Amino acid sequence: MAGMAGFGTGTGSGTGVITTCGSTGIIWNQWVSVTSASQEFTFTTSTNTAASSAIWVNWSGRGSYVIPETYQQMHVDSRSVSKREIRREIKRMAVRTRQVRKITERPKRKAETLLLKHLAREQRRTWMEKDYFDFSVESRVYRIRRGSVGNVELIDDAGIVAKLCCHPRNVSSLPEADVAMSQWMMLKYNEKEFFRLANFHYQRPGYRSAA
Amino acid sequence: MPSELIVLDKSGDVKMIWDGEKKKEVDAAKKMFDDMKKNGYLAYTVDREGEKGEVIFDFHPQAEKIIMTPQMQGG
Repeated sequence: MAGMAGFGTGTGSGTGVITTCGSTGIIWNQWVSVTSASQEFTFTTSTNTAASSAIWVNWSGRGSYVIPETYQQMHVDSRSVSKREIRREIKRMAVRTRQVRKITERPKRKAETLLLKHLAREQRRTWMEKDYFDFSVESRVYRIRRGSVGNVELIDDAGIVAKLCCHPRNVSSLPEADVAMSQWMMLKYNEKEFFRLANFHYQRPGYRSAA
Repeated sequence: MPSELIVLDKSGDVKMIWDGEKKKEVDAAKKMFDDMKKNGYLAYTVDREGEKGEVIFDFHPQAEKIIMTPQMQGG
Protein backbone atom coordinates (compact mmCIF):
# COMPACT_ATOMS: atom_id res chain seq x y z
CA MET A 1 0.00 0.00 0.00
CA ALA A 2 2.88 2.33 -0.66
CA GLY A 3 0.77 4.52 -2.94
CA MET A 4 -2.24 5.59 -0.89
CA ALA A 5 -3.72 7.48 -3.77
CA GLY A 6 -4.44 4.16 -5.39
CA PHE A 7 -6.22 2.38 -2.57
CA GLY A 8 -9.63 3.73 -3.45
CA THR A 9 -9.57 1.98 -6.77
CA GLY A 10 -7.79 -1.18 -5.76
CA THR A 11 -8.67 -4.68 -6.82
CA GLY A 12 -9.33 -7.55 -4.45
CA SER A 13 -9.03 -11.26 -5.09
CA GLY A 14 -8.71 -14.54 -3.20
CA THR A 15 -12.09 -15.63 -1.86
CA GLY A 16 -13.85 -13.69 -4.51
CA VAL A 17 -15.71 -11.54 -2.04
CA ILE A 18 -14.65 -8.35 -3.71
CA THR A 19 -13.17 -7.81 -7.06
CA THR A 20 -13.33 -4.09 -7.52
CA CYS A 21 -13.88 -1.34 -5.03
CA GLY A 22 -14.72 2.19 -5.92
CA SER A 23 -14.72 3.83 -2.53
CA THR A 24 -12.95 3.48 0.81
CA GLY A 25 -16.26 2.80 2.55
CA ILE A 26 -16.86 -0.38 0.59
CA ILE A 27 -13.30 -1.54 1.13
CA TRP A 28 -13.64 -0.94 4.83
CA ASN A 29 -16.92 -2.77 5.07
CA GLN A 30 -15.41 -5.76 3.35
CA TRP A 31 -12.39 -5.76 5.58
CA VAL A 32 -14.17 -5.57 8.88
CA SER A 33 -16.46 -8.41 7.79
CA VAL A 34 -13.46 -10.76 7.64
CA THR A 35 -13.91 -12.84 10.79
CA SER A 36 -11.50 -15.71 10.27
CA ALA A 37 -8.28 -16.56 8.58
CA SER A 38 -10.14 -18.66 5.99
CA GLN A 39 -11.95 -15.55 4.86
CA GLU A 40 -8.74 -13.62 4.45
CA PHE A 41 -8.28 -12.22 1.00
CA THR A 42 -5.65 -10.32 -0.86
CA PHE A 43 -6.07 -6.76 -1.93
CA THR A 44 -4.18 -5.36 -4.82
CA THR A 45 -3.47 -1.76 -5.61
CA SER A 46 -1.51 -0.38 -8.43
CA THR A 47 1.63 -0.50 -6.36
CA ASN A 48 1.29 -3.21 -3.74
CA THR A 49 -0.29 -6.54 -2.86
CA ALA A 50 -0.78 -7.76 0.69
CA ALA A 51 -2.90 -10.02 2.86
CA SER A 52 -5.85 -8.24 4.46
CA SER A 53 -4.26 -8.47 7.90
CA ALA A 54 -1.13 -6.74 6.61
CA ILE A 55 -3.01 -4.06 4.71
CA TRP A 56 -4.30 -2.55 7.89
CA VAL A 57 -0.82 -2.51 9.39
CA ASN A 58 0.44 -0.69 6.35
CA TRP A 59 -2.38 1.76 6.33
CA SER A 60 -2.41 2.58 10.00
CA GLY A 61 1.33 3.11 9.91
CA ARG A 62 0.85 6.06 7.58
CA GLY A 63 0.22 9.34 9.32
CA SER A 64 -1.84 10.78 6.52
CA TYR A 65 -4.55 8.14 6.61
CA VAL A 66 -7.64 8.84 8.71
CA ILE A 67 -8.65 5.72 10.64
CA PRO A 68 -12.42 5.16 10.44
CA GLU A 69 -14.11 6.13 13.72
CA THR A 70 -15.68 2.73 14.30
CA TYR A 71 -12.33 1.07 14.00
CA GLN A 72 -10.69 3.61 16.31
CA GLN A 73 -13.25 2.64 18.93
CA MET A 74 -12.64 -1.06 18.36
CA HIS A 75 -8.93 -0.46 18.58
CA VAL A 76 -9.20 1.37 21.94
CA ASP A 77 -11.60 -1.23 23.39
CA SER A 78 -9.43 -4.15 22.40
CA ARG A 79 -6.40 -2.45 23.96
CA SER A 80 -8.16 -1.66 27.24
CA VAL A 81 -9.01 -5.30 27.87
CA SER A 82 -5.84 -6.88 26.62
CA LYS A 83 -4.60 -9.74 28.76
CA ARG A 84 -1.26 -8.06 29.26
CA GLU A 85 -2.91 -4.95 30.71
CA ILE A 86 -5.17 -7.01 32.94
CA ARG A 87 -2.14 -8.89 34.25
CA ARG A 88 -0.34 -5.59 34.86
CA GLU A 89 -3.36 -4.19 36.70
CA ILE A 90 -3.62 -7.30 38.87
CA LYS A 91 0.07 -7.00 39.71
CA ARG A 92 -0.35 -3.30 40.59
CA MET A 93 -3.31 -4.13 42.84
CA ALA A 94 -1.38 -6.93 44.56
CA VAL A 95 1.57 -4.60 45.24
CA ARG A 96 -0.77 -1.92 46.60
CA THR A 97 -2.55 -4.46 48.84
CA ARG A 98 0.79 -5.64 50.24
CA GLN A 99 1.81 -2.02 50.93
CA VAL A 100 -1.45 -1.24 52.74
CA ARG A 101 -1.26 -4.47 54.73
CA LYS A 102 2.32 -3.70 55.73
CA ILE A 103 1.30 -0.25 56.99
CA THR A 104 -1.66 -1.57 59.00
CA GLU A 105 0.12 -4.67 60.32
CA ARG A 106 3.21 -2.84 61.61
CA PRO A 107 1.57 -1.28 64.71
CA LYS A 108 0.00 -4.65 65.59
CA ARG A 109 3.36 -6.40 65.35
CA LYS A 110 5.06 -3.70 67.46
CA ALA A 111 2.38 -3.88 70.14
CA GLU A 112 2.50 -7.70 70.23
CA THR A 113 6.28 -7.63 70.57
CA LEU A 114 6.13 -5.15 73.44
CA LEU A 115 3.47 -7.10 75.32
CA LEU A 116 5.19 -10.45 74.83
CA LYS A 117 8.45 -8.93 76.07
CA HIS A 118 6.79 -8.09 79.38
CA LEU A 119 4.80 -11.30 79.86
CA ALA A 120 6.11 -14.37 81.68
CA ARG A 121 6.62 -17.56 79.69
CA GLU A 122 3.28 -19.17 80.58
CA GLN A 123 1.45 -15.90 79.92
CA ARG A 124 3.13 -15.64 76.52
CA ARG A 125 2.06 -19.18 75.69
CA THR A 126 -1.61 -18.64 76.55
CA TRP A 127 -1.69 -15.26 74.79
CA MET A 128 -0.34 -16.75 71.59
CA GLU A 129 -2.26 -20.02 71.71
CA LYS A 130 -5.51 -19.11 73.46
CA ASP A 131 -5.69 -15.30 73.17
CA TYR A 132 -5.58 -14.55 76.90
CA PHE A 133 -3.20 -14.29 79.82
CA ASP A 134 -3.78 -14.54 83.58
CA PHE A 135 -2.12 -12.65 86.39
CA SER A 136 -2.78 -12.07 90.05
CA VAL A 137 -3.02 -8.95 92.15
CA GLU A 138 -2.72 -9.94 95.79
CA SER A 139 -5.13 -12.90 95.99
CA ARG A 140 -7.29 -11.94 93.00
CA VAL A 141 -6.75 -13.55 89.62
CA TYR A 142 -7.52 -11.64 86.42
CA ARG A 143 -7.74 -12.80 82.86
CA ILE A 144 -7.24 -10.37 79.99
CA ARG A 145 -8.56 -11.67 76.71
CA ARG A 146 -7.63 -10.43 73.26
CA GLY A 147 -10.15 -7.74 72.43
CA SER A 148 -10.89 -4.18 73.32
CA VAL A 149 -14.14 -4.01 75.22
CA GLY A 150 -15.44 -6.18 78.07
CA ASN A 151 -12.35 -8.37 77.79
CA VAL A 152 -11.20 -8.35 81.43
CA GLU A 153 -12.39 -11.10 83.75
CA LEU A 154 -11.99 -11.64 87.46
CA ILE A 155 -11.80 -15.40 87.86
CA ASP A 156 -11.50 -18.09 90.49
CA ASP A 157 -11.47 -21.88 90.47
CA ALA A 158 -15.21 -21.97 89.74
CA GLY A 159 -14.93 -19.73 86.69
CA ILE A 160 -15.81 -16.12 85.95
CA VAL A 161 -16.62 -14.00 88.99
CA ALA A 162 -17.07 -10.73 87.11
CA LYS A 163 -16.60 -9.33 83.63
CA LEU A 164 -15.19 -5.82 83.58
CA CYS A 165 -15.00 -3.16 80.93
CA CYS A 166 -12.37 -0.45 81.22
CA HIS A 167 -10.22 0.47 78.24
CA PRO A 168 -8.18 3.32 76.73
CA ARG A 169 -10.26 6.22 75.44
CA ASN A 170 -8.82 5.90 71.93
CA VAL A 171 -9.43 2.16 71.97
CA SER A 172 -10.45 1.92 68.31
CA SER A 173 -7.12 3.31 67.08
CA LEU A 174 -4.94 1.16 69.35
CA PRO A 175 -3.70 -2.35 68.57
CA GLU A 176 -5.30 -4.98 70.80
CA ALA A 177 -2.00 -5.82 72.49
CA ASP A 178 -1.66 -2.16 73.53
CA VAL A 179 -5.18 -2.25 74.96
CA ALA A 180 -4.26 -5.37 76.95
CA MET A 181 -1.02 -3.73 78.12
CA SER A 182 -2.92 -0.63 79.32
CA GLN A 183 -5.46 -2.75 81.21
CA TRP A 184 -2.74 -4.95 82.69
CA MET A 185 -0.68 -1.97 83.92
CA MET A 186 -3.68 -0.33 85.53
CA LEU A 187 -4.93 -3.47 87.26
CA LYS A 188 -1.45 -4.29 88.46
CA TYR A 189 -0.49 -0.87 89.77
CA ASN A 190 -3.76 1.01 90.21
CA GLU A 191 -6.44 -1.63 90.75
CA LYS A 192 -8.75 0.66 92.72
CA GLU A 193 -8.84 3.23 89.91
CA PHE A 194 -9.57 0.46 87.41
CA PHE A 195 -12.57 -0.66 89.45
CA ARG A 196 -13.71 2.93 89.92
CA LEU A 197 -13.82 3.44 86.14
CA ALA A 198 -14.92 -0.02 85.02
CA ASN A 199 -18.41 -1.09 84.13
CA PHE A 200 -19.47 -4.58 85.13
CA HIS A 201 -20.78 -6.61 82.21
CA TYR A 202 -21.36 -9.59 84.45
CA GLN A 203 -21.21 -10.35 88.17
CA ARG A 204 -21.66 -13.75 89.71
CA PRO A 205 -24.69 -13.68 92.04
CA GLY A 206 -23.53 -12.73 95.51
CA TYR A 207 -20.26 -11.17 94.30
CA ARG A 208 -19.25 -7.87 95.89
CA SER A 209 -16.21 -5.99 94.68
CA ALA A 210 -13.53 -5.85 97.34
CA ALA A 211 -11.36 -3.37 95.44
CA MET B 1 22.44 1.57 82.30
CA PRO B 2 20.17 3.72 80.07
CA SER B 3 16.55 4.27 81.06
CA GLU B 4 13.59 3.74 78.78
CA LEU B 5 10.35 5.62 78.22
CA ILE B 6 7.68 3.67 76.30
CA VAL B 7 4.55 5.44 75.10
CA LEU B 8 1.71 3.30 73.72
CA ASP B 9 -0.03 4.81 70.72
CA LYS B 10 -1.65 3.92 67.42
CA SER B 11 1.75 3.18 65.86
CA GLY B 12 2.22 0.43 68.46
CA ASP B 13 4.59 2.33 70.71
CA VAL B 14 7.23 5.04 70.73
CA LYS B 15 10.41 4.52 72.73
CA MET B 16 12.86 7.05 74.10
CA ILE B 17 16.08 6.05 75.80
CA TRP B 18 17.97 8.42 78.07
CA ASP B 19 21.00 8.39 80.29
CA GLY B 20 20.21 9.74 83.75
CA GLU B 21 23.66 11.34 83.90
CA LYS B 22 23.20 13.41 80.74
CA LYS B 23 21.12 16.51 81.28
CA LYS B 24 20.20 16.99 77.62
CA GLU B 25 18.79 13.46 77.36
CA VAL B 26 16.98 13.76 80.68
CA ASP B 27 15.42 17.05 79.55
CA ALA B 28 14.24 15.51 76.27
CA ALA B 29 12.70 12.52 78.06
CA LYS B 30 11.06 14.80 80.64
CA LYS B 31 9.57 16.96 77.89
CA MET B 32 8.07 13.89 76.21
CA PHE B 33 6.74 12.66 79.57
CA ASP B 34 5.16 16.04 80.37
CA ASP B 35 3.63 16.34 76.88
CA MET B 36 2.01 12.94 77.21
CA LYS B 37 0.74 13.69 80.72
CA LYS B 38 -0.91 16.84 79.34
CA ASN B 39 -2.68 14.55 76.85
CA GLY B 40 -4.12 12.50 79.72
CA TYR B 41 -1.63 9.65 79.59
CA LEU B 42 -1.03 7.51 82.68
CA ALA B 43 2.51 6.66 83.73
CA TYR B 44 3.96 3.62 85.50
CA THR B 45 7.52 2.94 86.53
CA VAL B 46 8.48 -0.70 86.29
CA ASP B 47 11.74 -2.55 86.85
CA ARG B 48 13.49 -4.11 83.91
CA GLU B 49 11.75 -7.44 84.45
CA GLY B 50 8.38 -5.70 84.72
CA GLU B 51 7.72 -7.28 88.11
CA LYS B 52 7.62 -4.29 90.45
CA GLY B 53 6.11 -0.97 89.62
CA GLU B 54 3.95 1.94 90.65
CA VAL B 55 1.90 4.80 89.29
CA ILE B 56 3.84 8.04 88.93
CA PHE B 57 2.67 11.56 88.27
CA ASP B 58 6.04 13.26 87.75
CA PHE B 59 9.03 12.32 85.66
CA HIS B 60 11.61 10.15 87.44
CA PRO B 61 15.04 10.72 85.81
CA GLN B 62 16.51 7.64 87.50
CA ALA B 63 13.63 5.27 86.69
CA GLU B 64 14.68 2.07 84.91
CA LYS B 65 11.63 2.01 82.72
CA ILE B 66 8.53 4.17 82.38
CA ILE B 67 5.47 2.90 80.51
CA MET B 68 2.83 5.45 79.52
CA THR B 69 -0.64 4.29 78.52
CA PRO B 70 -3.58 6.30 77.17
CA GLN B 71 -6.25 7.62 79.52
CA MET B 72 -8.72 4.92 80.55
CA GLN B 73 -12.50 4.94 80.67
CA GLY B 74 -15.31 2.57 81.51
CA GLY B 75 -16.96 0.86 78.58
